[in-house]
Amino acid sequence: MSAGPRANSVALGGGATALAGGMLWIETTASLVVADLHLGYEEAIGGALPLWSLDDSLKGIETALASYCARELILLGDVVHSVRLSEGAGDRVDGAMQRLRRVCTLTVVAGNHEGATRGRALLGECVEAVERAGMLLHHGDRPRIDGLRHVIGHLHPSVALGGERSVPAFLSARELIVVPASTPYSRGLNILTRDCRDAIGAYGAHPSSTQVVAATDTHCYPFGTIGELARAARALRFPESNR
Amino acid sequence: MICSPTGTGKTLTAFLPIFSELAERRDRDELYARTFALYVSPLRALGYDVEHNVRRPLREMGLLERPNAERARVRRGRLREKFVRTGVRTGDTPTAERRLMLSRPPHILMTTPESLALMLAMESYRATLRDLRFVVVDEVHALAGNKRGAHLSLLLESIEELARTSVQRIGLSATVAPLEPVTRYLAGTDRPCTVVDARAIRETRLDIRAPFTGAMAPLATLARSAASAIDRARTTLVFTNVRSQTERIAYELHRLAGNGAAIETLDADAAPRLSDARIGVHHSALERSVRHRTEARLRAGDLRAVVCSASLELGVDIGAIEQVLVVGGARGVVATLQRIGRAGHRPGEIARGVILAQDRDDIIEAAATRRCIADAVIEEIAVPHTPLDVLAQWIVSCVVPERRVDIESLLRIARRAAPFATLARDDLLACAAYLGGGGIADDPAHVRRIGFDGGAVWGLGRAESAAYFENVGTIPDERSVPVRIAGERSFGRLDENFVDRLRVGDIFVLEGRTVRVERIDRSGITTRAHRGRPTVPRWNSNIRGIEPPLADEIDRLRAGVADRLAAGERGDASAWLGRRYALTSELCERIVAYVEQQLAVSTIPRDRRPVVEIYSLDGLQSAVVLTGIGRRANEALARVAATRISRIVSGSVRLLTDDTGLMLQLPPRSRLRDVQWERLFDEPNFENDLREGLLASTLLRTHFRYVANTGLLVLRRANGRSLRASSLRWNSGRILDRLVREDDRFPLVREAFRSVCEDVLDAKRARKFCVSLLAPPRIIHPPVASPMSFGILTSSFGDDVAVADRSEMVDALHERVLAYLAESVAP
Repeated sequence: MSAGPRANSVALGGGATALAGGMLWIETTASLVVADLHLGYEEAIGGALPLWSLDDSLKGIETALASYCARELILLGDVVHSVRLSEGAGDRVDGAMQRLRRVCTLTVVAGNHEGATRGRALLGECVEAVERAGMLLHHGDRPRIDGLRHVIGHLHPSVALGGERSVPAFLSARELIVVPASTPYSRGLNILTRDCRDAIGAYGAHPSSTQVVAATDTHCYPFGTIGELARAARALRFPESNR
Repeated sequence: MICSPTGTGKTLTAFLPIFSELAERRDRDELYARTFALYVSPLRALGYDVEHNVRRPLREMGLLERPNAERARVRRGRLREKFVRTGVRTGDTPTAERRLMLSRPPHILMTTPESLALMLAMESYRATLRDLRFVVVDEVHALAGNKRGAHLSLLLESIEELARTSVQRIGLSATVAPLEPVTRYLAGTDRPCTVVDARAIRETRLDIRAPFTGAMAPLATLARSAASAIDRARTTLVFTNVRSQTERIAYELHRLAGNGAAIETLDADAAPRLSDARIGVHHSALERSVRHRTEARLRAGDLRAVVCSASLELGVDIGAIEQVLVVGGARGVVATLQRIGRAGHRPGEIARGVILAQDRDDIIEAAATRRCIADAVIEEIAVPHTPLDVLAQWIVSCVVPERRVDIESLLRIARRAAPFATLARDDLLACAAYLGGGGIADDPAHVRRIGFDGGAVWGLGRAESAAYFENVGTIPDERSVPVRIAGERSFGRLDENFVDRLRVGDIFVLEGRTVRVERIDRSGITTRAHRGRPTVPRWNSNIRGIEPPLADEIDRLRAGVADRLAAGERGDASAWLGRRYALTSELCERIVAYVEQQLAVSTIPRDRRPVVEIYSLDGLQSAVVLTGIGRRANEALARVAATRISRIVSGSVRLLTDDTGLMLQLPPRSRLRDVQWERLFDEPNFENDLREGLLASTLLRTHFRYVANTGLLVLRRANGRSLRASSLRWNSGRILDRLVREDDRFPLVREAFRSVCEDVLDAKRARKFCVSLLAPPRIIHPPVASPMSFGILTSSFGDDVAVADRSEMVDALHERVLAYLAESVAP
């Protein structure tokens, strides 16, 4: 895979496919992977707001589960923004989990936002990692190198568009796939920054061989490698606020 | 309401009846341990200053408390006291002192609106305020026109409810206009107000110097001119309009000092530090301790000059200043009067100021300012109209932690405050509804600030009230980032917005030090001392715009000269300038030459017809629209025009405004025909187009964040921690998008639009301008940049009107990157 025209989905190799909407599809096990939902964010920041992102995320996931006939949904960590939710919000999250369990097998991977209990109290059974199609899926807050291709969330990679706008992006290398965050409340980690290079470097991935696939709600955009995008960014001088 | 210029004894005047009352109480043995007088000012430092100043007359009258002996007896149970206590309660007051204030309340308490809001919500303080007799509101002119003032107006009504007897309000204001709405702001809607109008008692003298021969003066030249003026006076304040200019002038003064000029020389081996010399730097990006040190040194006569931004325009006593230099002009009549009022800060002394014009526009502005001062015409204060975010916060303050108030009482109290005189019941209910956890499209929030049942609101207890106590106030949370030299403590702060644009390797000046950026991370900016010239000169965000009547007078001046030139009466043009604006013949000649140059390549906007000059900049079609209606109105107009353009072309239209006009730049490969430019300022659909243009703008998002914070919808601080500003900024944008989609009548969405259109932009004036156009704009294609457009053409762009949604932006970016990569690998 390299830079190419936009499409509804983009194959990332090894049976993994990046989908529009920022979800990952694993063909051999019919698993849909969603990372970093951060449910309850509105409340966790002390906002007197409805839990909008919970409703939106649930709707998007249910649509994708149905259209891909998924057998399993893997939530790749940071399902909630905080485990300290009000009773009402906790009930809403619990209701959402139950709704998803009714339509498929739900596998919840714990993330750093699930706290010391790793989310068990709020989300039911949580695991630290699962293996699917020869890939090791975990949240990514505890980097490791063990020969397998890792599928992680946690980093919230994004392509900065200028000003306050950005678009979530998959990162894909031989060693690693990073699934973008599904929460609308994250600006994301600019993939052209040193922080991002360092983070993927912990898995042995290099910018010159890590592909970037931006994902909007309707399309995937293969941008080539991080190295190529960095070169283009310098030449085309985008985005203005990038540093 | 006492209205008189700076330095004429207003504060003491206000305190005379208070001294009298307290003396009588003492004589009657009725000086209870209660607060009888409150002094509220917008600046914390003023509270300390005024406390210091009132203690002297109290001491001379034998009213001031003597230490210890009396205190001990009072503590043993005596109710009445013999001496007056004063105290200051601000955010800086240590906890121990606050605790002491509760057991022994100061009879005169100095505070800020925010601390007052906190005190009024705490039962312990409320008990000490029940016998209040006087509230002195200082710097009314700095409060009446903004949300902080609107908040205070509600708090004053809360005091009225709390106090056993009616409280006398005493307002102190520098020159302000019009007096009627400002007095109504102070008194409330249903009380009479006596006005002491002494606005004309101070003589001012304003000179204009233009130390250049061509179109404009480089900063180094201005600094040389400033240096020679500084050399001739004992103490000088040098005012600039933006912080970056403050630093640049200080930098140039320092260079002059290094060259053995008038300013003291520095250790050649040290990194440049003006604070080591007798010239200080003062602006709001500096650490508070650095600013306080500069103020103290200025007061003590240790400093020869201080270069400052508007930060020293208001407030604290800074000692005897002999002269004031205003670099470039103050962009306003009131601001000019405030600045030059800092000189000769004693009754009877003439306030002397000199405007150092940087370019020919500055000469015109200075001449018009002087005319306005002579005619006693100044900018008018507009009291904000029903800011709903402020109302929401006040509702919470009325019931925390466990009080209950019915809606009718809230409505009655709020309507007594002038900014809320026309408050609609439905608006009050809408605010109470969202604070009570509902009200957004039937989707309730699980977090509630108060209880609400349709007829009353009540507090939900201590834990739920924490959000209020942690987030009180209306001051926008503009975060700043500390700047340090590697291995040292931070020496200043920079706006987060400015830091967003900084890169490693950039060189800038802060507190007179030239530094190079080494690293930018979450803890701040690490720099290294540098000797080269700065590469990042500007903070643009704080430029004040020219308003009517100054904008009108500038328009009149240009048109007056243009009309005379058109009639072939060049000599008369110059003579008229001399007569009307009291300018030297040399300055008159320069203005006439300037207008001649403008007429040679373009024209002057007049007869209610703007001029549209079309240019091609870097291959992009760009139009400068000369209007003469002031920066705030220009910005509203620019957003309407950009929205309309975006329906014709695809891509984002970039816009920039200044006092002369506005500039619109089209996206690549787009062009508008002359006839299309002509129709951009038609009046129909003005409001809808402005709203559409604002929806995706950074401006609206920024203000929604402020509104959401003030209205306690989204918190700045929760559980003792501040939210990261970048997250707050991002999230508020997402929340605004969602709110607009769910319920565009939501009170804080309406308030965000209101405050942008009325407080930030001048949408009303912009619309009036469109209505009053007698004919379509004149379209001109100047061969070179016209003098009036020069400033705006050489500025950098501000906001853009992004009409493209995110998908379109990704599409466009993807297309460009693919094209670039294909090209770069081609043989």
